[in-house]
Amino acid sequence: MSSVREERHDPAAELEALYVQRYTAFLRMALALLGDRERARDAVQESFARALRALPGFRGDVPLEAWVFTILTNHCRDLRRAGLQFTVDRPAEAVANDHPGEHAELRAAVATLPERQRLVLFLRHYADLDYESIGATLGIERGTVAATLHAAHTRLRQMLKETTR
Amino acid sequence: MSETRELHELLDRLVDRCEHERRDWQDVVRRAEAADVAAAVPPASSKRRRRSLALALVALVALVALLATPAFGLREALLDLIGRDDVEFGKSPAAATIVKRQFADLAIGAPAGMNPQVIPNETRRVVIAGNARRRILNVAPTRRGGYCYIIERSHGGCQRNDPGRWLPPIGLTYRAGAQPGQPAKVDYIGGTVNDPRVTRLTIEFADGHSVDVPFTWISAPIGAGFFAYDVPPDRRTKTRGPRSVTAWGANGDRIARDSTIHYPLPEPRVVDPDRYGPRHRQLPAAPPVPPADPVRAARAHGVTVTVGANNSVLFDSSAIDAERRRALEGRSAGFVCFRITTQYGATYARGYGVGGRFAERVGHRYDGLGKLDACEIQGSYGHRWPDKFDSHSIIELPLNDRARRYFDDRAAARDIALFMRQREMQQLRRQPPTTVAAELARRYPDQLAQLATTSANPPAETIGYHASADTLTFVRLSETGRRFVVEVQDGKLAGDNLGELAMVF
Repeated sequence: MSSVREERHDPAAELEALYVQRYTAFLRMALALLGDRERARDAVQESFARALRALPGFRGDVPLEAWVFTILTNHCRDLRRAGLQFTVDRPAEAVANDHPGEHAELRAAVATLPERQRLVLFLRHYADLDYESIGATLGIERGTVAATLHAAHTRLRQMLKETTR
Repeated sequence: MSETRELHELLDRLVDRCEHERRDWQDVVRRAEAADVAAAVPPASSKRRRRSLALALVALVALVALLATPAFGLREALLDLIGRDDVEFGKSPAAATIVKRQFADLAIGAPAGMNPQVIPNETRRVVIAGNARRRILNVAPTRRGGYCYIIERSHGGCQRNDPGRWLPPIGLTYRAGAQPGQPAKVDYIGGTVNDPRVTRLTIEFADGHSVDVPFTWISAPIGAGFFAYDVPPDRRTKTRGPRSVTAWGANGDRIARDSTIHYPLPEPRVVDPDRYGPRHRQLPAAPPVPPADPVRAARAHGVTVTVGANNSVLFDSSAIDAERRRALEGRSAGFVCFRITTQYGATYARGYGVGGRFAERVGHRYDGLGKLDACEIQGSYGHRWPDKFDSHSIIELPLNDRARRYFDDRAAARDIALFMRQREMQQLRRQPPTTVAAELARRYPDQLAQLATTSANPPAETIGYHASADTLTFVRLSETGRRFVVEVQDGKLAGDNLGELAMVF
């Protein structure tokens, strides 16, 4: 009882606990978005640093975890934008994974998903967030999350069937 | 296999599971602090603009000066503009929260007349120029018109500026030291400029040499300048070292000179701990003023603390239980009182203690803290795991429920920290996790509990551990239900959530 209240009163400690306990999920999400382990590690560190700085202004309207995932996805999007402008030898499809040579069809299929579908897919599979948290992260309704995820799955299955025919 | 499950597995293989990654929370904190520093540096473009403007003004002023008054030379005009940098306080970024907290803590222990009355929430961060490197200045106004400041890794202070009060034009600070057998040296000079007419600062050296020192003038409500100067290594001794700092006005007139830099320094006094150590210090038996109504009290293990509304506190240990008396008598003890506060992004105990030989009656007035939540007596015995008082302080005197929970949480955090810090654990944790787990089970069959998963909880008052291929996870629950976790990866501490309650290293 009191522990929950205490942790809410101590956002810095709560953020640190989130970092320790969910680091792998954040890193995996960043890796999915950036496709490069070093950049992903850096993005996670940077995102938590930004969160730590912005913590006094965090109003608690959304769960802390969703808030930090929002910071991370925004940061990764910025990095991708910056990277794609200057990286001409790296096709956009390849940045969605860590092993460019493997699972080429699936990678290509994921890369062609609309951005929202891709983010929902990644947040569900790699960050292991529930629909509520995904909605809070992306600022969309729970029902929209379910529909978007369903659309992404359908589209991926369809594309994979087509490529394996 | 269903299509959905197949898709899940494919997606899972697409991105590495990242199971062998090391966490580094300290790096996060460093980045957050560095970002604050970066935010304080004006963008390159505005800097360039300011420099261009300065250069244009230099040219203009120099031309006018040369034409109008031949005695007013180009060198002085150039130095006037280069030496002083004006910064608007209101446009400077806010200081880091940890700095605000340091400013808030300036009131701790200060009697009413000595409290600088700083306004911590208004602390700003400014990059100031130095001769060798830039430094971060954190500065905040005070409620009585002055300011408090810290120049990072250099010095700091507070300056009153009451109406009608005389202010020294220069506030000088210097760092001096002497090694046995070597001449005394002054290696740093810093300080403040309190006269707005000052446009140039110089340091004069013993051999007649002088240098200009850049300083940064901060606008109202601060209304003061700040400087920091690293003395070059070949100019630190008395024969060639700095002797004075001079403030100059726009017309080259000397406004003030401070010559209080002294050599040599007294030899350091060697204190004999057997004669002057804390256990020889006699603490007062009563606070300077009696506890004022309404008085609160707490009692534990035969010790009573009486806390007045004026924060005058009396510890009475005349009925302390025998075990604790043995641990305290004849030794030094800390008599601590604090308030639990959540501000600047952290919950922490804000308070302090007075140390001296344990006595049955000790009084003190704890100024600058606001309404106290708890007091305690800390012993001077070594803390080892398992701690003889279950990682609690020897006497804990909570004045309310919040303090009770704080003491419980702190004891649990201390327990797991002490366990991790003991030498045998520092060696053992470098082994493969499964080896460590087997060894822990052998060494501590009754004191530790193996956990089935990292999210499982150990029994009360027990440290639980879980070993995966590369990670060791240690868990300890507080009596309040709060869960403390320490993780070890590749033999190194990868993270913990003990916060300010305890330190694991």
